[in-house]
Amino acid sequence: MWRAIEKYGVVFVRFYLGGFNLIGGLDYFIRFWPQPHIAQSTGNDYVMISMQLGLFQFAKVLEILGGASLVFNRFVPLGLVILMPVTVNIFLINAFWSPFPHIIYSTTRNFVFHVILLAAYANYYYPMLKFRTAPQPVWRDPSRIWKSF
Amino acid sequence: MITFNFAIDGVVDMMSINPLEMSNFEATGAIFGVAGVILTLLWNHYVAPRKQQLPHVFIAQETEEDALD
Repeated sequence: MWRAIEKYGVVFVRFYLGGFNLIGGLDYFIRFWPQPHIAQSTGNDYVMISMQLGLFQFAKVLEILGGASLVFNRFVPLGLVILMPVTVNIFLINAFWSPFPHIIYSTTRNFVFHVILLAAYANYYYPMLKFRTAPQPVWRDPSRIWKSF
Repeated sequence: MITFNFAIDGVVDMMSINPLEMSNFEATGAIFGVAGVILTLLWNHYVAPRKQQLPHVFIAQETEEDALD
């Protein structure tokens, strides 16, 4: 029973985070819903500056790519890494600065979901936990890329 | 003031931390999540399990060749 809850819990979290980010990213370019209300806060200044720098648009592209990878269950560990900067930034600028409890709750939940997924797919990240490493450049044997598929 | 209000009125109460009080994006996430679980349940029931890819494990020779030091 516990194994089923664990398995389908991870499935739910993957689809939730994927759907949230995929639709959030697409909505920025297609505008089928109004953009989220931005409150006056220090975090809002950060959003405004990132829009002027084009970082916000870039983040939305990452949301589409990462969200699609989670929803379609393809390259999920890579999708989680792509989405991580977006999730962390949204969490940091809202959880500590937003005047709205709903936004604080929502961004914190997404951050927790992201951490749960990283933990669920941890076996793909263990190779990064090597203490002493030797570079093995991709240009010496590019075929390793498609061998990894 | 934090509340636990919930109403189906098409407006998000920004002061509410009720999980059912959802924005469009949160509702989309919830719909995707529930639909995903149902689809996965049906998929596991009706479709033969396919082999999934576990992380690539490098053997010693593979790790040593082409290494810079």
